[in-house]
Amino acid sequence: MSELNISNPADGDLVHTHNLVKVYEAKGRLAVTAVDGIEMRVASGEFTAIAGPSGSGKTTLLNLIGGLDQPTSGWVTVAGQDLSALNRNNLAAFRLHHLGFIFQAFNLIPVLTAEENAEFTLLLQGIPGKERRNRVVKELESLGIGSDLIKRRPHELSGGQQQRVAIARALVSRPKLVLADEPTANLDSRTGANLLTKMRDMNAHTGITFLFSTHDPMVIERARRLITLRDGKIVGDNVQE
Amino acid sequence: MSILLIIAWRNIWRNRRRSWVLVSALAVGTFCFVGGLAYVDGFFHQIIRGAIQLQGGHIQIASRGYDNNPTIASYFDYTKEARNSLDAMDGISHAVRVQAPGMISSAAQSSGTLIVGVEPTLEKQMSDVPQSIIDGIYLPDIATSNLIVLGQALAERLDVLVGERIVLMVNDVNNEISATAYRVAGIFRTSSRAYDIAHVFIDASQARDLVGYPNGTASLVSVQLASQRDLDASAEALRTQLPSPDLEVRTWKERSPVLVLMSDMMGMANIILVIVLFTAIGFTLINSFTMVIFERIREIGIMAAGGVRPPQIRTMLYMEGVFILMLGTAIGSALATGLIAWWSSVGLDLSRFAEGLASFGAASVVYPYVDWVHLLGGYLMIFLLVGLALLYPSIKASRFKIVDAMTHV
Repeated sequence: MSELNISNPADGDLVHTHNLVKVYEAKGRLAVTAVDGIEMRVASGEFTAIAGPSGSGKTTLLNLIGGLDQPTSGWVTVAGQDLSALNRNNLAAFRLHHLGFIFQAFNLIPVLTAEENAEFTLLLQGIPGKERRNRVVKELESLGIGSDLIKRRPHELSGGQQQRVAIARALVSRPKLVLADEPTANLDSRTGANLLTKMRDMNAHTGITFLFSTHDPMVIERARRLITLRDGKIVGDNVQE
Repeated sequence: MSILLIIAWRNIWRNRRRSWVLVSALAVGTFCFVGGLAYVDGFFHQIIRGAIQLQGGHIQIASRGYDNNPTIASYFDYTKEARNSLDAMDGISHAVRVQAPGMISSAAQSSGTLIVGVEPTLEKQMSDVPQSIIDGIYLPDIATSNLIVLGQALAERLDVLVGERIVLMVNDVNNEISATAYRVAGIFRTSSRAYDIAHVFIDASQARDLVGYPNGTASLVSVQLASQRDLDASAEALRTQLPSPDLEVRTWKERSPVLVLMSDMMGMANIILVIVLFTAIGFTLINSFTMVIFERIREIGIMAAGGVRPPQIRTMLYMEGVFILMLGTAIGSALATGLIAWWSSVGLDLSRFAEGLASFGAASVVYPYVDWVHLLGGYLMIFLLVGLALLYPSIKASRFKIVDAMTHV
């Protein structure tokens, strides 16, 4: 990671977007502006939800912050790194070492067991075997995935169990920022509430920053800060108690 | 990297039928290549071995120009010093030959032939003929009477049996007709019927008497090497040892450039066979792996989002291809090995084409032979072609836009 210019910004912002625009253009169709000039700062350690109706640009904004998509104009810095300055390889390395992702559809790798899925990031980071194994088992256990489940493949787990494994995969490497796109959408409310509590605990204990895109009231209630989007623009930004 | 290897291996078995189709295609291709190579190499190996064993040896020492014009007047004094200097060289065996074209006649028939005078003791270490006796005996080490060994095909043509008499007649070195009667000591049969008809063997001292050569002379000295690899070095050493301007040291490659050319061309034909076979198989691989990446586009997107770099995605797909390739080539090679083992014991009988094959100096029964250089060259070509076939799908996979890949349905 020596080639990446990672620093702690002087202003303490972990994420900073400036005049961020994303326009989707398709042949023969009208261009759609999914994100329209968003100016946003997220400080380290926040537990923030980005809410808004469908098509308001939540997922697109999260993808731009995670370096999964390129903005049409404007820029994003994460931990002081301008993501547009990175090529595909360096961007992948940046995501590997600094970001964690949780998706609505769990997105586990089907040929790997729960344990292997959870340790995937650590394996790519080259963490030695014993340390890796200890961290993964501890993480999975803290999320309620015991030894009876860790050798199972994703299709042998329930939705809630799969999402726990996905959360373990995102958190086990202790990234600076976790981007969670509708993490509770495919879960029943009890499982969703349980996992949100775990994530909030993790945020409190480790200082990992969580940024959710959601329209789930349960997530919105638990977020300390709520950013509301409409038509690709921020229409509300409130700190909640 | 190890986790990507694990994923690559497990991915193969997600669609077993497709993987086995690919493995089978590669196995059949490898089987055809190795089997074809064993046949072609075996064919030419036998021709070359025949040219070496039955004719002048790996290296031939003769009067200058003898190869192009082997007249009875072309002989040389094979001195004791020359023989001793050859004896002193490691890794070679050598024997004198006195050769003359002549006529062989029995009571029933006559036939043109090449009369070859040999040193029986040395010849037994150098030629296949002494081991190819099927009736009677080879020439004795010390000649006590006029004995001759001839091929089965010639014996049938002349209608003679072991113990019966024939007459050899030549135009001797003084251009006089010289004839001597011989008793048939033995009848041989080599893998080449053409050779069996065209050659008869008598003792070298009796051959000298027949053609009028002085004692200690020879038409040529045949040199056999322990290893074919030493061919050029040994020829050079012999040229140094025998610096006479009247003598010429020639390797079998120099004597038979057509054979060398044909052998090289067949080596090229093997490569062309591999290219044709595996280009066709390569298109199957391109098609299958393109399907694979579109089936797994979402997973590839997830992995890329998680920090897997594009070169790692390419490597993972390549590893899938390599696993399939290794399985296919292993199965194909194992089957081809079985074929070659069976074929080695029974040979491939091409006797219906014997006449045509004889014109090449080839035997009518071909035994497989694998030249390791050709084999390795072929395998390298297979790996190269499969590598090229995987290039497009793997590059395609590594260039997906992550967001598009993850939302692909």
